[in-house]
This record gives sequence, C-alpha cells and structure tokens, in this order.
Amino acid sequence: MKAIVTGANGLIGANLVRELLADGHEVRAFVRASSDLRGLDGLDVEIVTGDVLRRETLVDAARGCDVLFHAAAVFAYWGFNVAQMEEIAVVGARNAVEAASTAGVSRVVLTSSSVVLGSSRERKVRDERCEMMEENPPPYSKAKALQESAAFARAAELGVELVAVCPTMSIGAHDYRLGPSNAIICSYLADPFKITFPGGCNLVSVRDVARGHMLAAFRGHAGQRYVLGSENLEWTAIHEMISDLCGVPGPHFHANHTSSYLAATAQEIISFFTQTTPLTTREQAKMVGRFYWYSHKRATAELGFKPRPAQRALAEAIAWLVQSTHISPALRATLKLDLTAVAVSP
Amino acid sequence: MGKRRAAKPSPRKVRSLTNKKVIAAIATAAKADKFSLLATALDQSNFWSSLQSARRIAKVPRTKFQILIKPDFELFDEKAPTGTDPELVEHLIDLLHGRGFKCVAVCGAKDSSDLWLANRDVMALAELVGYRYTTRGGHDYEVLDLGEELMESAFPQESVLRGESISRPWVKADFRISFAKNKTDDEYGFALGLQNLLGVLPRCDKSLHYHRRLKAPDVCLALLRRVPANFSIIDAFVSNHGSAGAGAPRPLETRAIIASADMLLADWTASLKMRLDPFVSPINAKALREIRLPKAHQIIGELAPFEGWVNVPPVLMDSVRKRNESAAVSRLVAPWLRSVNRELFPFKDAANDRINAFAQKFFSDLDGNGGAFSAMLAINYALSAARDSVEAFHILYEKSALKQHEAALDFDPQQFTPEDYRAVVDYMEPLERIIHATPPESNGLRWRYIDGSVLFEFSQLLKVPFAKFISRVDISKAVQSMNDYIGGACVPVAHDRAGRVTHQAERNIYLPQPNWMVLFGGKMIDVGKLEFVRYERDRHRIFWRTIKSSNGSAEFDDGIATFAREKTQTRVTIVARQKFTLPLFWQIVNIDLAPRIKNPLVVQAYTIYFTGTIANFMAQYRGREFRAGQKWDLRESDEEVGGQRGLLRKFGLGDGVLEKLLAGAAQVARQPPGAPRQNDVPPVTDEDGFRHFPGRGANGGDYPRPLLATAVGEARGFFADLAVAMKKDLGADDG
Repeated sequence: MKAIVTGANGLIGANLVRELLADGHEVRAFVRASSDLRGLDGLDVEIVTGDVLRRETLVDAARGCDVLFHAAAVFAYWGFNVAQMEEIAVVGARNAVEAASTAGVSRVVLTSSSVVLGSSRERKVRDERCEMMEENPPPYSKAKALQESAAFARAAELGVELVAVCPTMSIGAHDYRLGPSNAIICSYLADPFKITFPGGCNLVSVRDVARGHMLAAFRGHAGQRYVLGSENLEWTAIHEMISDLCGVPGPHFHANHTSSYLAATAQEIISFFTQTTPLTTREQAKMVGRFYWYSHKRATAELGFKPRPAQRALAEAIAWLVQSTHISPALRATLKLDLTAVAVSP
Repeated sequence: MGKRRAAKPSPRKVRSLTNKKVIAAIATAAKADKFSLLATALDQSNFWSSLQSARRIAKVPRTKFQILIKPDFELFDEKAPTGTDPELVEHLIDLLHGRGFKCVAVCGAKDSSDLWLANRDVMALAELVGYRYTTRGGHDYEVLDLGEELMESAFPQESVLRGESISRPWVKADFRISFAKNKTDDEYGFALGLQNLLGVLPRCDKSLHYHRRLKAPDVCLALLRRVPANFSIIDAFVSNHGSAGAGAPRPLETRAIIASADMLLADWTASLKMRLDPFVSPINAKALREIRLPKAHQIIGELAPFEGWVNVPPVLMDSVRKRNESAAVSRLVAPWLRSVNRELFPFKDAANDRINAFAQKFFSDLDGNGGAFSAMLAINYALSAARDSVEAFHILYEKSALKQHEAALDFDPQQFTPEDYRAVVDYMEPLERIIHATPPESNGLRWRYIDGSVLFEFSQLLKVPFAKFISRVDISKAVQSMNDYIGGACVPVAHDRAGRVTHQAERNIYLPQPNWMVLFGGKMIDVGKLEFVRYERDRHRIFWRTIKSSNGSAEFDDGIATFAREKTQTRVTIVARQKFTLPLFWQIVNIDLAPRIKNPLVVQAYTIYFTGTIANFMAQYRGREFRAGQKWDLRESDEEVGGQRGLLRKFGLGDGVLEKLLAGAAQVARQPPGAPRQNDVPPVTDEDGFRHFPGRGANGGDYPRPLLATAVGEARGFFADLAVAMKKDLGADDG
C-alpha cells in the first residue's frame, strides 16, 4: 500500500509514518516548506512540500496513493490565531477530501479528536454517539468539530470513503514542537508546587493512535468515527503516576477552578513578558473540572484496536521527553526516573 | 545510656608549653613607644620562657628553631589600623634575633579580596602595606605564602576540616605566633587572634569556604585543636573600632599590647578591654565553651576598658550576620563596603569600583550618620529577608538548588562505650513492638503518639533481589539516604570481622519537617546520633538514637531501618520516633488540640517522608544521585564560581532570563497587548513565487487596537471568566 500523510512531521504524523513503514508500506510525507522535519529524520519516506490550504499541491502529492491520512492541524492553546486555526482545520480537511477524489485515492482517514464528542461535568464516559454540547468550547475543540462535519459533508458529496479517528490525549515520542498533550507532563514536572486539579481525561500512547489510524484505513467503516483511547483517569491519578515514574513527590496541592484560572492568568502574563510558552493557559484552565472520558469499545470491536495501559504510555512518553530539549537539564537532574521497576505496596 | 568515659585529655596540654599559671599580659603606657610596649608584654606574659620550653621539646638549636609569625593582613591601605602594624612585626623579629632565634619568617595567605582586587597575593600585599623584608635592626626575613606547599590529610575524620589541606610550613614550624590586630568586626563583634588564625588556611575565598560553606566557629575550633598558635599577641597600640569594623578605618590610640601563651585568654582579655561580652563572637564563644580558658590563669595589667571605644551595635551585628548567611549576598556586597586605596589595590571590575565609590561616600561613617546607619540596617535585613524567601522557596519546591551542609560531628564519639551503642537496640526494639501492633492506615502507615512524639512504621516491598540490594545500598549509610537529608558527618567507631561498620556516630542535618514549617521560621533539623548496625543472613538493620541537637531542633529522632529478604525481593521497613521542635507560631497555635486537623497532616508528612526515602534507596540501588542539594563547588579562581555571573545564576537570573524580561518589557513599550505578534500568520508563497501576507482587519483582530480598548476588553474577558470559575467552585454553575 502507498499512503500519503499530511502533517507527517507532527506528533501523530511522525508516529503514523513509522508504523506504516514498520508494516512495509510506502509513505509519502506531505509537509510545509517551513516545517521542522526532525520527526522524520532518518526515515525512508518521500517528502513532498505543499500546503493543505492550497488544494492543488495536495492533489499532486496524492496521485498514486491508496490512502490519504489527513493529520495536519494546529493543536495549541497558546500563541495561535483562532481564524487561522479554523481555516486550516476546515479548509484543509475539505481540500484533503477533494484532493483524494481528484487524485483517485480510495480512502481518507481524518485525524479528528475526542474533544468533538464533548466532555462532562460528572464522571461520564462518552462514545462516538455523543456530540459536543458546550456553549463556549475552546477554539481547538470548535475547530475540530467544524473540521469533522465539513469533511464528512464534502466526502458524502464527492463519494469519497472517509473514516474519522478521534484520538484522546495522545502522548509519546517524536513531539519536537511539544504539543499540549505531552506538555502536560512537562508542565507538571516543571511546576514547583506540583498542583493537580479536578476532572480527568483519557490517556493513550501515540503509537497506539498511529496503529489505530492504520486499522481504520483497513477495517474502518466509511462515514464512521472511532475513538482511539486507553484508560480514563482523574488528573490526580495521572499526576501521581508521573510523580511515581519520575521519583518526585507530589502532587502537593489541589487547585479549584478559581485558583487554576488565576494561576493560568499569571502564567500568561509571565509568558508575555518572557516571550515563552506558559505552563498552562486560561483556555486550559477553563477545562479544569471536566471529564474528557471516552470509550474505545467500538474501535476495539470493529478495528481490533488494543491500546497499552496508561502507565506504560506515560513511561514511554517520559522516557522520550527526558531525552528531549523540552525538559531542562536542571529539571532532569532532579528526577529519579524509575520507568521499569515498580514498587509493590504492602 | 551507660556511663560515659572520661573526656579525652584537653588540647590545652598541646597549647600551653609551660606548667606555670597562664598569663595574659596587657602592656599599656601613655607615653611609651609601641616597641617598648611589645617588649614589656612579651616579658610579662612569659613569652621567652614559652619559647625556651618549646625549643627544649623540639631539641633544635636556636639558630635552626623555626618560628612563623602570622600577622593580620586585612589591610587595604598603607598604615591602615585594620591589620597588624608591620613595624611591630619587624620589631618582634628583631627581638627574636636578639635572643639568638635566626630562623624567623612572616606568613599569610590570600583571602577573598583577591577575587575583586589586584595585588592581593601575600608577597605583593606585604610590600605594599609596609613590610620591607629587612628589619630596622638589619635582619632579613621571608614572607611565606601559606597557600603553597600544602599538606593533605592533616585533619582527623571527625574534624570539620577533614579532607582540607593546610600549609606544611605552618604545621611543621617549631613555634607559631599569631600577631593579631585589636579591632571590631561588624559580623562577629570583634576580630582577634582566632580570626587571625583562620587566615592560615590555604583557600583563597576564605569568606566562602571558611565562613559560609564551613562555619567559622567550627573551623577555628578545628585549627585550635590541630595546629594552634603557640603564642598570641594582639596589636592594640592603634586599634580599629566603630560599627563598620575592618570595612572602614577608624583608628583609636589605645596604646596597649596584649600577649599570652593562650590564644583564648588573649582574645578574652582584649574583648574585656573593648567592654564586650567575650562570648559575643560565635567563633570565640564556641572555642570558650569547648576548650575553655586555662584553669589557672592571670591577667596582668590594666583591665579597664579602652576610653572612647565604640563597639558594633548589636542590631547592626545581627543584620550583618543575617545578611551574610547567604554566600552569594555576602560576596556581592563585600567589594562595596570596604574602604580601599585604589592606587595600591585597583578593583578588578569597573562596576565594583563605581559602586564602592558611591557606597563609601554614604556608608563610610555609620557611627556619625544616623541615616546611613538606618539605611545599612534596612538593606541588610531586606537582603536577609530575600535570602530567607529564596531558601524557603528552594526547600519547598527546588531542593536541587540548595547547598549541602558540610559539618563536623559535634560530640566526641569516644566518650561513649560500646555498650552505649548497643543500648540503642534495647531502646528501640520495644518501641518497634508497640508500633507493629498498631493498625495501619489505608496506605500502610502505622503511627501513634508516645510522649508527644510520633512513632511510626512504614514498609514496602521492592522488586529487587536482596543480595544485590544490600551490595549497593549500605545499611550503615541508610540514615544519610533518608528524605531531605542535606548534610552532616559520619564517624565509624567499630567494625566487625568482615570490616563492616557496626558502631558509628553521626550528625544529620535535615530540611525543616514538614518542609512548609520553613514558612513559619522552622529550623534545619540538626541531630547527633549513636548508631548500631546488625548484619544477619536475611536481614540488615541499623538502629539509631539521638543524643544531641545543637540547635534544639529535635527532642526525638530515633529509629530502625531494616532491609530484609522476602522470597526473591527486598522489604524495606522504617520504624522511627520523631519529635521536632515547632516554630513559635505553632507552639502558640497548639494544633494538638485539633486532632482532626493534625492527624491528616501527620499522615501526609510521614507518607511523603517515606516515599522520598524509598525513592532515594532505589536511586542509590540504580547508581543515580539522590541526595537533596548540591555539593559545594571547590574550584577557585573561576568566573562562574567567584564572579558576578555566577551570582546572577544563583538568583535565577542566568541563562538569559534577564535578557528575556528586558525584551518582553521592550515589546510592551512598543505595542499594545492586543496586537498580533509578527510571526502569528506566516506569509504564503504561490506558484509564481509571490509571497502573500495576510490582510489586516478582515477578522477584526489584526489591526493593533488602541491600548485602552485592548486593556478594557482583556479585563472584561478576564473578570467574566473568573466569575464563571468562582461560580463553579461555589456550585452555582450548572453548565
């Protein structure tokens, strides 16, 4: 099989490329000319430069491919332009479907997000049948929801087989720009107060997400979406796991909505002055207290998706992050990593 | 505890070379010149007989009898009153030559001022301040640099100076004379013979190494015990008094020379003449308490205080001590608060030169300028408060930034019998049975109170083989692996046939427990312990019991650590009894009366303690660094260590943070907060090579909005979202 992957240099894209290559597929990586290509270093892929906002570049790149994986997106909670984020999401997805149709690619797998299924105030597990009902969703969630509906609508019009996958919080290696998911690990480790907060999310290894993309390409039903997730955990449990794996005490404090919001505001002010990315943002603070819990039963039943446990995913992500530049040498020196030996309580 | 052995023979026998009553002579005369006063003081204090006794013991002819004179070199101008008068030193050499002692040299070593001033090596300094290498009587002499010809391992294991080197000529000299200056000191109250003795140590940055890294009272005590001066003379002909100490010359003609075979007695006498409590200096206080004055001693001469003498006010001394607790702050301000002859000793750094010139104008007369005095107090206390805040932050959130404590054992382990060490087991085992019968909390912690102390037990099974674990994690070092251990000393006392330590004495310094006590003035936990180690086939155990807490920080810190084989794995169990002294606030707010509040705090504190300790054991097992804090950097003459850049880094302003803050401020000045950043929307290049830049105004957000409108909009959004967050916390939000 020959596949084209848009956003191939991103977190999901780079891991998807690796999984495809590992299974012996031919891969064409579609990236912007200005992209950071460290995620593709040393891989046997054909790199094609273009822009998802320029349909013709996508059409040229997609010719001769059997599957188009559309993973290009802006995933950020800081330093982005809302209009541009939506444009890349919606127009980009529409262009991908149209390019597949023009270039004769039989199937498109769209990297959507679990956030399109909404979130809950209570500990409720959501699935593919749910919809986002929030009044003022974060710009990223809104952009992904608009993207998915636009892509399905255009695919239906053009008769293109489109399968959407909805990864939950994907963590793991080859995240050179440091997306918000892995950043949660780094932020917690860098946080001197080791603060945790109410709510929870579903953690999944990005390698499993990549594998889920391939399963969706081969086994997914057109017009369907599949949650690619693993365990549903509260933030406190996630932070405790990070602490255990890194040998640092914590979490020490439980923030509520107000303190989270004030802390995030302070972070943004500091970041404004220091021209750095804040540890957390007000947009993220607004998500505190909500449960982004999802079921991947459908993906397991229909695709054979078998994700690894969250602790394993965290251990793998931390193992990569501590070797990256996202964790400073000073911070790294304070960690007592124990990613393999796990103590058993009495 | 069993009976204690008799104390070791007093070091006084080493110091006092005659069996006569030790005399401190104060030679004073309104009209006599300084040379005749020196001669009188030497005669009255039995200097010559001390010298003869030493020569007889050394069995060396006078001509080969090596005498070293260590004057006070804290001089920053010619004829300044802050150091020993070179003419008096040369006259002493002449007097010695007159008695047939031909082998006499002057000695000294560089001090911290070498980091910021030129010409501070001993030879250049001596020449610039008036040493002529030939006395008036025509006798040549050498000036030796005690920073050279070093001797390793000169100090015993229990000494705070273990591992430090010292000048071989000083150690090997047949007779060592301290010739100190009579002067006030803004940190210690006075600086006399003991401080002068500290100058024989070789490290250049004495302020850092012998005052901050190691504590000056410990260092001086170690020197007194191992390589003391045989005779102590204090030049009080023209003394230096006043609030600024040696920082600003303020001469007072006191016309006295003090001399004694006992340095403590000489210092005692001089401090009495200053009308000071001799214990006001922590350096002298420690030595006086540990070694004490000679049992039989006599002070000859006029003991009435010096007329017109001005001491350092206690409040200023307190502020300087607190300010100088930070090595970084102490180093920062040292070049600024010193009166310097720039022609003799140019500043190495232009910024220090300028700041010094400014500061000297304002602070040179602390005693006559109330405003300057108040400002100095305010600055000192502000710097001290900043230092305390930084340390509290580090203790709570960034322990890696703390410095490890280097300390000596503060009791003599030989004063205890082997039975005393074994008795620790008898004391702990009944407590172990009590706690083992206590039901555990949900996380496995067992705990209860005994006499107000917390007795607890925590146990965890580690997935590592026992044999490998004990080969990598030495049970005798287990106490040093405990959570928040920040330094101390450990002296093995006895070993078993396999060479393993069985009896040992330890001093442990821990961060305040729980760490948040630092916010209420909680002290470092500083405890001295007797320890007994037991090795069995399937179990290694260490028992410890606290016998001393120098700073009164703990009543109990006793325990047992056990490494036991459990099938193919290792079980680590810690039983401990702890009671730490609470800060004043928590003594007033008696939390014991509210067990519902206290108990969860106790459980949380001991859970954190045990989790951290287990993490330390595992880190040790895997060969990783695990101790809290950083080791002191012992490099010398390094910009990163000694200079301003290293200092900025200490304050967290290294690595371009300062530059980033300035860049951010510049951006604020250039554009309103609502304006987009230049790189927000990248230009797109089409097939024809034209670059398309995003248009402005289409989405209403790309034009820089007026500053006020932006601020109002941001504020409105902020408060609206804050209100939502608060409603959620109050349960009033149903969204």
